[in-house]
Amino acid sequence: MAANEQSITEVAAAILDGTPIDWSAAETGVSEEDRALLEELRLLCGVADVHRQLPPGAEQDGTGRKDHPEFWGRLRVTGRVGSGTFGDVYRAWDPRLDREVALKLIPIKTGSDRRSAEIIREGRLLARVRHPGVVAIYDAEQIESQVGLCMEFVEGPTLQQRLEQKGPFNASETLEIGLQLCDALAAAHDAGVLHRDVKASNVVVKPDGRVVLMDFGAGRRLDGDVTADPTGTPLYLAPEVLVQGLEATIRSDVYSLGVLLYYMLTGSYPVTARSLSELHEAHQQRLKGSPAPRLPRHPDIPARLAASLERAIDPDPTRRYLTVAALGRDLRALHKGPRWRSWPVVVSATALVVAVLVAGGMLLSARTASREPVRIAILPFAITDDQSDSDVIREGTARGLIARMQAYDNARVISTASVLSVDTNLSLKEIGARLGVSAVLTGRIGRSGDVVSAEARLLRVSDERMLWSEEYSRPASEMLDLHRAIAVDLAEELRLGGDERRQQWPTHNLQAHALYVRGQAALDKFTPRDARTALQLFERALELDPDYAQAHAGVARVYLDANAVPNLAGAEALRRATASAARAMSLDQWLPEAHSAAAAVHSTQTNWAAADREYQIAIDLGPGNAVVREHYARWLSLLGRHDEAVAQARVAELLDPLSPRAVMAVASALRFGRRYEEAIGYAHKALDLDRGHPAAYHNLALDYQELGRFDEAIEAYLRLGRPTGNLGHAYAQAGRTREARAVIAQLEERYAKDRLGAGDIAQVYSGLGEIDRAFEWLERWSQTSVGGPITFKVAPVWDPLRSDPRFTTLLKKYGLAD
Amino acid sequence: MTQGRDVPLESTIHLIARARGGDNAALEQLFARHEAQLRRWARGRLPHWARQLADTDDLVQDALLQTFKRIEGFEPRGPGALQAYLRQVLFNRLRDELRKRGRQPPGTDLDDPAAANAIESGDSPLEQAIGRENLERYEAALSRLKQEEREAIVGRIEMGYTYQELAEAVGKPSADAARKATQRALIRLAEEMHRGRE
Repeated sequence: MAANEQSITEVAAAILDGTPIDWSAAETGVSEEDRALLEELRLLCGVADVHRQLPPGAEQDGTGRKDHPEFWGRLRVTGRVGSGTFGDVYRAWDPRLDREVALKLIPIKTGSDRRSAEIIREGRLLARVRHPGVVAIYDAEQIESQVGLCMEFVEGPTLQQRLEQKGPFNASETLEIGLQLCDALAAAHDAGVLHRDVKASNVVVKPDGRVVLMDFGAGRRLDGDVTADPTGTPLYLAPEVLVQGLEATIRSDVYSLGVLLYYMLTGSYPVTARSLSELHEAHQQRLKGSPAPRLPRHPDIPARLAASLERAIDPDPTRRYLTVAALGRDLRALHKGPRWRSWPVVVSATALVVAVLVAGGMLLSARTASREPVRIAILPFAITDDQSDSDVIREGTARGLIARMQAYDNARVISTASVLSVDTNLSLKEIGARLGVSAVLTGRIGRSGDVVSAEARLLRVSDERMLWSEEYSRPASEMLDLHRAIAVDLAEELRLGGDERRQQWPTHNLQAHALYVRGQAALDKFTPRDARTALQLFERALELDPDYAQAHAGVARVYLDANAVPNLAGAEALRRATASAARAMSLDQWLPEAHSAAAAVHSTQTNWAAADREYQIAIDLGPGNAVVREHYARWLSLLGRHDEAVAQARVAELLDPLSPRAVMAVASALRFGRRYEEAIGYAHKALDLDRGHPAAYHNLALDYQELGRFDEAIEAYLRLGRPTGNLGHAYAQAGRTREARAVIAQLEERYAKDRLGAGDIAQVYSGLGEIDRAFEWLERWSQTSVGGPITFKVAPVWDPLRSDPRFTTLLKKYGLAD
Repeated sequence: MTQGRDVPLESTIHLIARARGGDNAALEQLFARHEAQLRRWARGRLPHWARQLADTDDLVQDALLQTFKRIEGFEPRGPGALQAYLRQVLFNRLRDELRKRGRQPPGTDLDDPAAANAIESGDSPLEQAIGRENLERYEAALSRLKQEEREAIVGRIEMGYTYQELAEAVGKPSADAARKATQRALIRLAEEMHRGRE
């Protein structure tokens, strides 16, 4: 033992001093005997840790006496109700309003101003929530060394008591209460407050059966202490919070709510343990990939309900519901479904989302009065200074506000391309009619010296009445915070649902933001050359701010565009796209574009299930993001899910009615669904919006071609101004073989130069009936392109090849056939 | 005088003598010196249900008042004795309180295999952290140590005494001496706990 005495003594000293211990190092090469000793010391370290992490309790006032106060401000304290984790709760009388209230007093350590400010801030945010399922906060203030939260006095047993008395709830009771809790928690999240301690003993059941969520913020950790508070309820804590010590998020609240519903339904917890260390261990096993907990399969528990709860308590937060509202949507669908017990396990989330957007108001009706979703346009603000980058400020403000507002579930915010193209000289009514909105946000913004100031006005279209207005000013360097402030206020004014994304900070670098804005605008134009311009702009933005998540997502998007980047082999483009998408995701996992890019990466790797999941997350996060919908629609088309594709594209069009790109998304989905006549209608609509829109001509031509109207198809292709495989194919089909061969020659010349266009060449050979040649080029295509081969399954142009076994082999190679 | 740690330590025995003589300042200083630590100990040891039932802080204060007001009944029998005495008073006080309110701890059936819910319903934070069996071995091993060793360990890891306070409480000449003594005691405890497994 002598050799290791030193290390044992050192470990003992570290335990007593509270300094970190590297246990695996201490255990290396020690004798059996010492190993046993170390094992015991490790337990003792656990004892010491518990006490170190315990709240020290009320600060002494030096007198040692702490009777309950007779008064708190104007409140007369009448008795003690109980003690919570961080404070005592009293019954009190408010003489001014003549009502009984509950008063929670939280002791504040001297010098913990931040903590008290935080508690008061949360109290105030919560006070704005008016929801029957959230305990109403009347007041929050600090007097001397205590913060007092004055709130609604709610009487009734807690869910915990109810469970102990009567045992588990049945599925429909669980659903009923679960829905109430989802709504309540979502209302709090919308106000910017996390609960942090959702558990059965924090839910009170009122005599009328309604439930009320109590004790918000109680799970807040003490000043920067990264270890979970052991006085809390660790069985409800999300693993990333408990084990990894990460900050609580909306998704950790989702987890706790999932545990609560699981507990209500089964009377037990998904992850159980006899001690905290065992619980850590159990979570660690799960995080390492052992199977997620499953609800016991039971005939009384509908499979779909089980699946929803299992998703809520997924150990991986990215696989969990991202918002409580999303969990609520699934529960509500179950609740309403007439044959819910026999529903298939996979319900189309797409259909649900569309239903919510289109039918509207469903979520709102439970939360506030029944109301249609708000359709709103955010017009570019007038610029009141004349600096050189005014256009960028004008467009950047519109883009910034729109992106933020699109994160809200209950608003339909018209996308940038449409509002930037609307003629602002029109009357408010005309603008409203063109964009299909009932309200418009407008305003002015300008810089004077180092200060940027803005005024925002919300106008009702029908009578041009001003519904709301506010003035803002910030240091010029904080222009982006000004966007955030306007969006938050507007959302509150409109009483929208939403999520944490509003708190995300895109970039601190204004110049980077300006470059990004220009890159986005370039990308909207949808031609290869503009995509390359966009790439350069995004990359310059990233030189200024390497942590700019949106710019990374933008880069991924460009690399995923099959024809955008010359001289780059498909594998390399894909590698760059993958890296950029991953980087965007790691920087901001709340960014819809990051998930959409990740989805696109997955689909190029023929990982269809993962792609679907990422797209759905992207839509969850940005229900109003038209571009995400367009991408999703295209992807659905490629899988042959045409009706869903058309539905998603139509949502994009609703969100961005003046954007030819969104209109073309519908046209394209229709064409893949072989609905050529309708597609032609949409292509013309896009051309009405933009005479020279290349994608519109391209699609129009494809439609004509499929209808056998080759001359019209050729005419449309020629308007694109460059030879394409489709043009050659149309020549071939029209019997104009010589011209078809001329196109091949031109395409081969280009291929030799930059390795782009192998697919086009294959296409012309397919049209000419030279099947072997076609397959030869298809093989080259699959080696050089990112996105190409995935159109195999559905593109009509390959019909002449379909009966060949080589085609089936290719389909199989890409996971597109069984 | 928020924690009573930054002021030069006056001997506890001396303070008690002064408090007994009606010196309120001395009484306050005694409170300041012991209250936070006792509270910390109690919070680690009391199960959730008991902490909801009876307010820990009040109990701690009651126990202290009771002790210091009737301090005549206390004869220090060696280093660390006061600390142990205070804990015992607090423990008795808690038991009285529970009896008075006519409540029994719920779900204390040790054989219940579904004790998974114990974290929610009954266990103390300490029990949660290391488990019931280990806690029992810890207690048993502690009881086999010398009182001085026991007080050093409990004072340091359960009550959060500084080494200086500990030196005073267990009668060591310096903080450093207290630190060394506590280290030795901790290793002794680990050995005793290991013996408890056999």
